[in-house]
Amino acid sequence: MTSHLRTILAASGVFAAAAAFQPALHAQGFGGMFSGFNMNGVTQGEEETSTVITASAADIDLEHNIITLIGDVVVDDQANKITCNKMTIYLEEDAADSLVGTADKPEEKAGGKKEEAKPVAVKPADKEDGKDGKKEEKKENEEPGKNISKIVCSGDVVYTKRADPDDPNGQDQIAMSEQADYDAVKEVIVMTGNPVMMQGSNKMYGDRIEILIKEGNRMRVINPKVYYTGESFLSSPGGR
Amino acid sequence: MGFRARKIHALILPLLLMAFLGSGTFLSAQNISSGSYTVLKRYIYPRYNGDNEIQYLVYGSTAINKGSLIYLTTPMIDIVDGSYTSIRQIDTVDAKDPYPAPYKLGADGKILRRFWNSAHHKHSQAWIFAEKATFDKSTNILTSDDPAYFRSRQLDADGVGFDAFNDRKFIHIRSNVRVVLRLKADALESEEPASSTSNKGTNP
Repeated sequence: MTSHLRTILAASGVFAAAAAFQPALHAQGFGGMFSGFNMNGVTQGEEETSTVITASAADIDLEHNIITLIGDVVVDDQANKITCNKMTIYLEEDAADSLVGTADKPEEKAGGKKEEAKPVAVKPADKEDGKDGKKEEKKENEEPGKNISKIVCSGDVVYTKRADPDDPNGQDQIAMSEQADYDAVKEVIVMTGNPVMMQGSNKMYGDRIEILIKEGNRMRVINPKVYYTGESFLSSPGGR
Repeated sequence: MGFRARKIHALILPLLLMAFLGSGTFLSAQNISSGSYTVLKRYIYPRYNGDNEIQYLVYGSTAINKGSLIYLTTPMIDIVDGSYTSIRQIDTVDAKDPYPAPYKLGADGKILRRFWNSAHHKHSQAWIFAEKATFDKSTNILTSDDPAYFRSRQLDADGVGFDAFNDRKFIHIRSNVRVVLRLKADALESEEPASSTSNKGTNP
């Protein structure tokens, strides 16, 4: 009986914690942190309203479509903040565009020749009339658009969901881990590597923490193991 | 200097320019040869890969060539996307136009669409703008200690100092990096007819 009661208490404690960590819905999701665009794909205008990521240095590899921000990486907007040691951004060709198959231009490659090594005076008129078929060639040469497919934050990752300023009892929610993976397609962030979620004096560990962007950055601890509330200690429902 | 010497000088100057440019093309060349270096104004320098495809174009207001180094003032690097085998396939910036300036970090959608849908930028994968840079012809590396502005459809970045390893399309921004991401670059697709408005950008 005592064991059963303890299990119930533990379960209720975990669920209460999960409920406590449910963030309020905000107009700008976590994905918005990485982007100056709102849902309509239109920027929010001035620099002050676009989320700017700062870092010590950056490596931009256009051949492999990888951008790496290095050292003291900070993403901060009014509602959320992420800090980490390194952020890697992966680009990939848009799937829908790829189906069109405009990337390869074998006829162009076969027919094209390298420009001779001599000065060429470019006549503006040549550009404007398009009689030389340049515009058509250019259209054929257009590659499918590339979009951000994945963002990986690594090294001392700290995600902070700021409390609702209108809520006098609101508290920041903080999640920490060794790595965080943002999947742009699924719109979810998965934090792994000793993840822990905190709010006030509450702490929750788990296998991983998922931040569901589509649900207003709702945070979910997968397989929660231990839950602390101040001085007290409760094991998870299935735990020891 | 007699007539003969002037004639020889007139022959040497174009040869020097061609050696400087390699396979380059320049617009409205105004050049001065002085001592052991060459000054070139308003130039375009295309660079090809092993498949004879244009990798990038370097524009600039002034270039001073000294040995294997070229000192560039207000260089712009147009990193080309796609299989262009001739510069004539690309709508380059006219010599008569003012050079395009980078739009501000966090510029609004209208400015972004105007820039990226411009005929001068449709072929581009990215642009790098800087106040000064040095190009080493022997290593094909462009370096700068000055503020630099990287612009692409997916990401814009400002920073201080950069090293561009052009053969690999790899750019290292050294410090003070500030980035704005666009998760969906497709959003830049035209909502309005775009024209060559590259000179309407604003200086950072």
